Amino acid sequence: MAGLPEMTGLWLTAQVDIPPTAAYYVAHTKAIPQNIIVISYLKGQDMSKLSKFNIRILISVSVMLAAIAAAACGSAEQPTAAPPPTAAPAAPSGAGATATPAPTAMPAATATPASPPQIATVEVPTPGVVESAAEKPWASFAAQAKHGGTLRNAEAVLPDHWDLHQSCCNPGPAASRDLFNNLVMYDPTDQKTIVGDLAQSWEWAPDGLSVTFRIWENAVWSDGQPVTADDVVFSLNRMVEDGVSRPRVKNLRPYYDGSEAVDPATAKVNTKFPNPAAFLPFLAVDFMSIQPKHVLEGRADVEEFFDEPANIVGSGAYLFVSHELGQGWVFEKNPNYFKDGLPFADGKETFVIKDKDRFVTAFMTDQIDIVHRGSLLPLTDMVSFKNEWESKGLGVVYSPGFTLQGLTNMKWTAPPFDDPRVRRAIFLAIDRKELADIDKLGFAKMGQPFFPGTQWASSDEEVAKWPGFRYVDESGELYLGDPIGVDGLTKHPDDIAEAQRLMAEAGYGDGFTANYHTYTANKNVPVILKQQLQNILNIELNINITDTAATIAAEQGVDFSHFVSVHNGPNIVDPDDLMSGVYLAGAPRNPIDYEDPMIRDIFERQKSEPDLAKRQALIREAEAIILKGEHHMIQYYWYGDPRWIVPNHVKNYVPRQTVQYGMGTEHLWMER
Amino acid sequence: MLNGLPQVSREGDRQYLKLPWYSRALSGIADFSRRKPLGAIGGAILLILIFISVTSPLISPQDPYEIRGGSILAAPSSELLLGGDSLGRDVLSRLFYGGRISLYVGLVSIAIGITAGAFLGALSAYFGGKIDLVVQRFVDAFIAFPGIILGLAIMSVLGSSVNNIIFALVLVLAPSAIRTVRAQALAIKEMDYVLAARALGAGDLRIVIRHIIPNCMAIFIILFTLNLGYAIIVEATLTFLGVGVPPDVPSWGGMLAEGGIAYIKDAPWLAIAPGIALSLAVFGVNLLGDALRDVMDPRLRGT
Amino acid sequence: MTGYILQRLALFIPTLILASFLAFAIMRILPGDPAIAMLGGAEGSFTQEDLDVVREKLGTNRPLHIQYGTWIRDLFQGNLSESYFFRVPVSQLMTDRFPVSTQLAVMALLLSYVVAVPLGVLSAVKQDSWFDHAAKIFTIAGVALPTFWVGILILFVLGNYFNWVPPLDYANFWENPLINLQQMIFPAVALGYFNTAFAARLTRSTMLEVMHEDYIRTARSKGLKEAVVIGRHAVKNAFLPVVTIVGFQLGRLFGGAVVIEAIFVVPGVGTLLVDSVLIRDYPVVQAVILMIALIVLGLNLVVDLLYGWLNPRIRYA
Repeated sequence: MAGLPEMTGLWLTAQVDIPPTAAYYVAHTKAIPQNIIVISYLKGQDMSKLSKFNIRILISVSVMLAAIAAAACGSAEQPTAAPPPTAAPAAPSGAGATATPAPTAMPAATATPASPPQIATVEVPTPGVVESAAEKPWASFAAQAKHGGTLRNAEAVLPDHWDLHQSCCNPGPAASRDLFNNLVMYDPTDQKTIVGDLAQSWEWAPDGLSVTFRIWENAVWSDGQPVTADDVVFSLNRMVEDGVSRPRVKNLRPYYDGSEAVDPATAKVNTKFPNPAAFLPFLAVDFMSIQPKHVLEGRADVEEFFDEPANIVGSGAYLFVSHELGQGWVFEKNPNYFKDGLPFADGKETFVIKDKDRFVTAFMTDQIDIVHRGSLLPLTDMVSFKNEWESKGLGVVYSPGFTLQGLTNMKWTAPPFDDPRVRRAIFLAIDRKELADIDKLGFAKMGQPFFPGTQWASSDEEVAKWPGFRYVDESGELYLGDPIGVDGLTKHPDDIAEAQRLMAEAGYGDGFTANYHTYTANKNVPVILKQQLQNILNIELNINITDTAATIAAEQGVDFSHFVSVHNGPNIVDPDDLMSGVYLAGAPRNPIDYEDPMIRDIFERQKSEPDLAKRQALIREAEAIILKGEHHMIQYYWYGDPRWIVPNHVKNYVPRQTVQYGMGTEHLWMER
Repeated sequence: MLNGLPQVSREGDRQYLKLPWYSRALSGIADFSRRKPLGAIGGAILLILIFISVTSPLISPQDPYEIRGGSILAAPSSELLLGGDSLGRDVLSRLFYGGRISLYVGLVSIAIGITAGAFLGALSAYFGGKIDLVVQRFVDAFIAFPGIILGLAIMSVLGSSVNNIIFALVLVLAPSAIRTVRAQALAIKEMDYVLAARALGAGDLRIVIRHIIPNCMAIFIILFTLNLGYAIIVEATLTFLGVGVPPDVPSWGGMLAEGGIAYIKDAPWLAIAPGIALSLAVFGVNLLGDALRDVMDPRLRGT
Repeated sequence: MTGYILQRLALFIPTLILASFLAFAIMRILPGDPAIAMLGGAEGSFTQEDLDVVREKLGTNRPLHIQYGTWIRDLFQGNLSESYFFRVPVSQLMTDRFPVSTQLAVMALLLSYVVAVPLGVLSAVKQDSWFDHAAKIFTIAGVALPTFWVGILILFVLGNYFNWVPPLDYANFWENPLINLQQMIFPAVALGYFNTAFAARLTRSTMLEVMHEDYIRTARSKGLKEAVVIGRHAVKNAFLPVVTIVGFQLGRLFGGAVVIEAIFVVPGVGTLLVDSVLIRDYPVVQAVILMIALIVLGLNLVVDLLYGWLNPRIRYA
């Protein structure tokens, strides 16, 4: 189905999306000598150019900020080089954060392990404080926006559902986020702090067990009815409804404990435990849309499920006009939108382009204004496109930070994987650096259990000492840093020896044969794994490529033989999301419910821990358990490859942290 | 090949038959080459490609499966003569090994598919009646089923492997062969010499073997040569769609499918090398096929 | 003659039943469950009850023979049921998509025959001349290069050297023929190249055969001009096998359209078919395959009639 692993080029490509570091984005102007970014990397050249590189970034950022400031002051010419990320008003704070060297995208950056990448972190709500001022969060940029034009957007797939509560994957919100509003959202001008969407303001109760939202009174549905607190209550209840499929919005279930409409513009929302750090961030994810009660109430899920998008009643910036089946859809500006002045474009048109080469030529010939959902191209193609695009100064291709997780699940309930020693041997034997270098061309970080480069991560130096993650240089010295993209490193011989010993001990000294199930877009990983496992553990992989539907069946355990490839794209940069997405029983990436009892315990304790340091300590404990290497999956890397293409004439674009939010385009304008 | 033999006198015949078999074969080939130089060139191209494919483990400069992080999309160099692919594997070695898979898949699926199809087609046409009726319904149903979709479905059910792709190709190719050969056979069946043979009391089998099949040979060879290219292309397209040969196994089609505009611009050797190999193979088969057709078609004898 | 046509039409029924059975069976044998895919697939943490609800709604929980029977019964009532994924009647999808693909296929077929027949005839007449050799290279490239590769090459040349590619927004031929032709001509060329090559080679070889037939010799010996011999006698007979494959080629064109439509963003039945196979949208796949089968069969009937007209020796028994 459209949202799942989707089409690359013609066919389905895994499409999970994830976050970027703000620093990386701003740094990514065309001023960056693109040849360094990839070509030198691809050819495995020395990374000494890097330090020069960082200085150039700093210079370019400064120049750019100056240019933006000049432009904001009304000076005549917009420098073509400057992308609009942190447009003027937001500049002070945004710029401060972004001036740090960009560590992410450039594999070369890994040569300086001392500076971990900065992924913006989730703000923990403080009880009793009004979180959003009554002022209009969009006023800051609305004043300078240029109005008019039709925003032409490209997609590779159709949305899996137009009902966001039933949508599984980001093609859903990519299609319909602009038709609806959430209660809260990530600020489009920095994509890391939470601001009101339908909510004008909100306030946490002193006990931290409820939050009261005040919603904009002038918000109306497209059929003319006002948006009220009843709609909010109805929608939240619908999101956590039991016994029905709520692929993404179900993330609220552990937190949400009912709500009530205090008055037509005020909704009080209760939480199951005090101060859930992940609650508001989850509410800001694009799937958590507020839906019209008067339309949906009493309708069976499946009716909505089978409904036509033309029947959509939304409150958002755009109105649904038409749906050309299979080719795209057309929206027009909502004249009654409660955010006065928004959206800036007169309409939005989305084309579904499945072939990767057609897609590239569409951009090259100015048929498309933006793509900002997933990676529509295979990485090598995208890198080539990025090089050409940016070297010609046509725009910027942004990558997320390292929040997409590459995983391979094992059928741990059946031999040979029912032996923890076998799972640990594989955990130790795989060469994560090689996988990242080759499959992700270095746009990746080592596969530690929690978001690398964030407050939840271990440092590169610590990671470099973990068994299974260790590398030695030519003189046999342990390399203390992120090994990805660094030449001349090989796996630590102790890890290999220990892996072989474990296999022999488990009775598989001569290896075994196993099936590896994967879908069409993800074929490099099994090919590389096959070579690694064959060389070190004598494990012979039969790679079985199937289309998406068959792979889903395999993933769900229906036809799961030995190995199956998976990806995980968390919604928010918070351990709650990761643990309930992968590590706990019942997680979607844990189809046959492996669970270490300690992990469940840690999860329960950390989720309401208000003290950041204590929570971090708990996460370290969870990490230690996962690092025993006996889990149901092997994690090799966190990746963030270039994927969001923004030409120079599209303004006010700021890349986001994860790929599950920020797909709305109401804040963008075009200026040629 | 028979009528490629030298036309000799009775005495010459005897002498000729005294020669060992390889001399006879050689002189046959020499004669064929003299009469059909283009065909001989085609045959030579094909033989060379088959030779390279068979001996690929001996002549490949590198391990075609070995992944080299430093050679991703590397330009041709003294180490990697045709550069590296997207996983840094040696394109030249993969080209050699790829020939094994592509030619094997192409030749075997054609050999089975077209031969079975031609035979069924000839029988169906000759016997007509109920047999023809039933066979043609199946053929119609299969032809009406788009080949790529049939291949896609079969591969999705069976999983990606070389033998499965051959099976899929046989099912895709055979119906068209049945139909085309049947049409030809129907025409032949009404020819005077067949009617004459029947009037002389020749049995069904004799007529099919002595008259129908030899006279379908030309169309058979055309089908064979045309479809070899098609078989390799279907393999490539299925691989392009992601359900062809497993991704670690080199095949020309798979190598071609991997490239796109990005590769045409940045690493053209990736697209050009398998494209040339594929075209050469099809070119060779076609030249040979044309020549063989000319030689074997009974109506063209002596012309 | 009428009897023959009626008889052939009657034969459609078993063929269609076979084709419908094939389409039905293949979709059911394919691993993967539309209900799982609809429930969010890998992302969904649905329960067995969720699955049951959706399967009930889709009807995929019933025994296979019942499903098949229901489908056939609905078919006879003119009800193609509804697409699982697009949530519109399958008949609407068909009326949207089939004209587009048919236009593409017909354009490709026309293009290929306009080029192929003269090419093949001339190659045969001027056997072993430079023209024949040039034609040989052209046609061999045509059968050697995968259609998707030709399509990508065309896109590359257009985008890279002309900085132009066909407009994205599909225009209906009757409403905006100019835009429509811009959009359709390149996919038609890419799609038709293989057919051109195939048909040209077939024309050439049958021409060569025919030109050695007795009646041509007779015609020549009667002192007829070569052009008349070729034009009136040879070409007509050489046409036989070429015509035979039209129906089959059209089937191939619908199949090849699967790839080309995606490359050129043509909203035809090819993309619909593959997408529907991939998401296991059973009703769409079944209906589309059946429709293609019907078209191909109809064409084959026309071909057979033509065949009889061209070769009077065939009796309609």
